[in-house]
Amino acid sequence: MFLISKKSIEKNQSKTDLSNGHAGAFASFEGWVRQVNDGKDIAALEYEVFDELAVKEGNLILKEAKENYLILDAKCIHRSGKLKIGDMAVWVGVTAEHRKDALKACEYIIDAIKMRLPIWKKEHYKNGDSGWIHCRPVQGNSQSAHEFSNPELQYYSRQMNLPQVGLDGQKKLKDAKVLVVGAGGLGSPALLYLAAGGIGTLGICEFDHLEIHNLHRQPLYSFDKIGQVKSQSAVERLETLNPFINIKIHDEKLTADNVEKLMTAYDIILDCSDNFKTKFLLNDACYLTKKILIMASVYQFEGQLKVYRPEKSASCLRCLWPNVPDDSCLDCATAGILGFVPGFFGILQAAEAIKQILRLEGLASNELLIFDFLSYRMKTLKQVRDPACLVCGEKPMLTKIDAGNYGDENRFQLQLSHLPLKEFQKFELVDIREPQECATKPVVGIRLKNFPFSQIKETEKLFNRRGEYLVFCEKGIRSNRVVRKLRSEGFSQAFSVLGGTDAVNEYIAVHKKDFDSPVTK
Amino acid sequence: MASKTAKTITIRYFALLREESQKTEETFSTKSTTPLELFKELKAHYQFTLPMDSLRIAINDEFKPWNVKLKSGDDIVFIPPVSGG
Repeated sequence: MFLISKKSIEKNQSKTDLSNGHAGAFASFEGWVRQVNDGKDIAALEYEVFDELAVKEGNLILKEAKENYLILDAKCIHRSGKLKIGDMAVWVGVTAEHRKDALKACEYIIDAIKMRLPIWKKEHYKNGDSGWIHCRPVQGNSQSAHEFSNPELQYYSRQMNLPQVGLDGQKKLKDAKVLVVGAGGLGSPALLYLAAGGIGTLGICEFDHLEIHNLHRQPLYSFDKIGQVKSQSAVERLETLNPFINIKIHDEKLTADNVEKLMTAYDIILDCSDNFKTKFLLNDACYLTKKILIMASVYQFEGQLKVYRPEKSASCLRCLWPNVPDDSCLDCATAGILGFVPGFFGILQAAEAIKQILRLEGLASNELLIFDFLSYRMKTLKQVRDPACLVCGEKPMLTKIDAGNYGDENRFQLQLSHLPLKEFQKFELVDIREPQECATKPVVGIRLKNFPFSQIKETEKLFNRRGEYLVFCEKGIRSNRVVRKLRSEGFSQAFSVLGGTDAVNEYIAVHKKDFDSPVTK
Repeated sequence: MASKTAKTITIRYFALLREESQKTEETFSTKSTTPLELFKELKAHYQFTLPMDSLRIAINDEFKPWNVKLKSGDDIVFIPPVSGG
């Protein structure tokens, strides 16, 4: 049994408590307050102990001693409060059948107590000075070397009391580096709970100014900050909430050019953005750089949550939606939103991040959680990895971040593997490769037209305005250009095939038996 | 073909589809054999504005392609992408 005592230690009583007919040996250790420490004359000293944690860790040490040595019982008492020279600061007693086990276990216990317990010592010197001495860095079982100040430990004490957190868990949180992209409706609560939970390095990527209509769903800010830079106001608020963490501002818009650099210093990214372009940029960048991404999006009374982890079973956002959707699904500003909806989902994102760091169970990385506030219906939908996914599939097309994949192209790009055969057959397939290319990599087994790119001048002579076209080239770059031109000229049903010729040939191979049309080339 | 007989399925709507159908969920009797046919049937009925290729479908809590066979008792969710934050 491990005890913290405010009064002087009654060692005789403790020794009696340990007495046992089987014991052939008793070993004890006493630590006393001495007169001189580090050359300074000491008048008195004071121990401050983080009780809940010390008792838990102390009992764990005694349990370890019992497991590792052949002993019958062990007890330890540590003082707290003010002590005079000569007072007993700590007492350890061990009983065993044999002396060697008792002595070894006793040494193990006192060493571990000195090393691992959250105890601070204030020395009062004879010259009138005094100073706090951290007995040792608090190390817990993990032996990592982070120091927590006493107020810091008090700050986190209620969450550290959870067996799933403890000192080790709190250190993991302190070591964690989390980037929150977007400090709006989702980012507000996410940042508050991540900061309060003790995330050691917290990044905020936000470039907007606070507007009056933000406040109803962004309680991170206050009325007097309207017009100010959001990221700055956020840091000021978060630093008053938790002064023990490190907050970094990235006061810039996330783009294809800076996304990877921005993420470098972080392990976990929270997508708290409000637009598809940023969501897809983060999805692709996190897959490519193997970072954990926690995504949330809301719409009126409902929202979606997805966690991407770089692991085999994971599916990504593009497995679900291959292209960046257009904005026909309105954003908060235009669709309207009640503050608690992003608030709830932002908290879920913070929860997933904290659980991830503590290695607790969370949303699987092949699931999408949807929740509706009106009906309180929650669903977890399984979404397996799409082997044809542009990003995480077997033959990925997006192997680096390229600004061209996050603009308007997505509205007219089409991923064939997601197209049912009946839909496919409505289209006219147009190969715009040059004859040389067609000879090198033929497309056979399907009816198609060939309009070499170099000869496409007047589109009206080749294409019919009412026609539905699937245009492809070798890689998908020229077909984008042609389709962009077609669209601008009013050919509204023209699409560019993502992945080019390989994607077409794969589609033909999959549906081979369904094509009854004669081979044309 | 047995699959052409009418079957009863449950459909849940989210986001824009919920607004346009003005329903959170409904039990529906249909002769559609695939989600694709079913969606076309519903699109005609509710005047859904979202194009099919911007939607995904989950059957019995699992995302599925548009051409799988529907069974009586299936629980269908049509999900549009959302981006609000």
